[in-house]
Amino acid sequence: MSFFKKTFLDNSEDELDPMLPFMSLLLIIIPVLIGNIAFYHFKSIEVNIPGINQDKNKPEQLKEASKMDEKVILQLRVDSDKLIFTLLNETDGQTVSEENIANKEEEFNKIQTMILKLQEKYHKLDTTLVSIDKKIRYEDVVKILNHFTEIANHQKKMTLVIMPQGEDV
Amino acid sequence: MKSKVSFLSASERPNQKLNITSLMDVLTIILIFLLVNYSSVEQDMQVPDYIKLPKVQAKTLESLKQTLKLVVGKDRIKINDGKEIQFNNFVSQQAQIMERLAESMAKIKEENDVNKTPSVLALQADKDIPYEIIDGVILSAASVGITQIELMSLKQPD
Repeated sequence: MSFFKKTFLDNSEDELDPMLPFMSLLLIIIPVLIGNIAFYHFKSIEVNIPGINQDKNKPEQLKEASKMDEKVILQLRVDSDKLIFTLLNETDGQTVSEENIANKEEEFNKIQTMILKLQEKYHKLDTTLVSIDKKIRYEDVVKILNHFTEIANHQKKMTLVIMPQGEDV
Repeated sequence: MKSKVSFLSASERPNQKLNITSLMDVLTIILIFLLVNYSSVEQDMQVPDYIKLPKVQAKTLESLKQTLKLVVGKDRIKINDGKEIQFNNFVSQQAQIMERLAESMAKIKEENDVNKTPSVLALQADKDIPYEIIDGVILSAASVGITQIELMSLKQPD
């Protein structure tokens, strides 16, 4: 066999031999990867909305919340110039605390400090009601909510409930 | 510039060696590119030409639960693969648009209820549209009993 190889086959084929299994592997892997390639990655922000016409469609989180005593709910009002965070007592609906943060990306790090403080103080805080000014662009809404959820979900899952506003009268 | 064609037989032709190194380089680069962009999550979602999704910096990417796809553009709204609802001015046509939206969503929700699948609305909206339009869409969804929404955006490259 070696005589045959030396005589008739080119030496370059010897160099190819160790590469062939790797090449075969690549030829199998590459089509599989091409099939699953994602040219863009989606980011989704999960929000709930309260059901309007049927009682059974209320978010479960809200139903549970009503059963618990001494629970607080965070209310976030997104305005064009500021973000208003209001902490409400769920049983009597009274304002526990309120904080305003400027609606600028540079100021968003203040949200982190505030949320972490609230989550430390109120362990049952798991719901945020969000209302948004109608003039704000979708991009800004998504950026604010994304920033908020990334921080809030770090320790515990925070449920966002968007409050629809409807037509102005 | 004419290309030269060899009429020599295979045995007469000078020994041509295939340089495998460059081929390996190309394949390795392709492999790395594909591995970086590989997605283990099946994404049955396309972004239509008429909208530009907002981009956000995201540390985590959740798998999508959507069963209902809603695309909101500057002048049209489309549900799943159904007919587009066109509008010139959302505010003046809001009542009709919301009625048509609610009708379409109710049909899909009924089908989902029969199949016992939860109705989760994946909302793709153009980055520049005002929240007013989104609010109308949310109201329509709420009116037919859809309570879970996924606000879609694109992950900004790191």
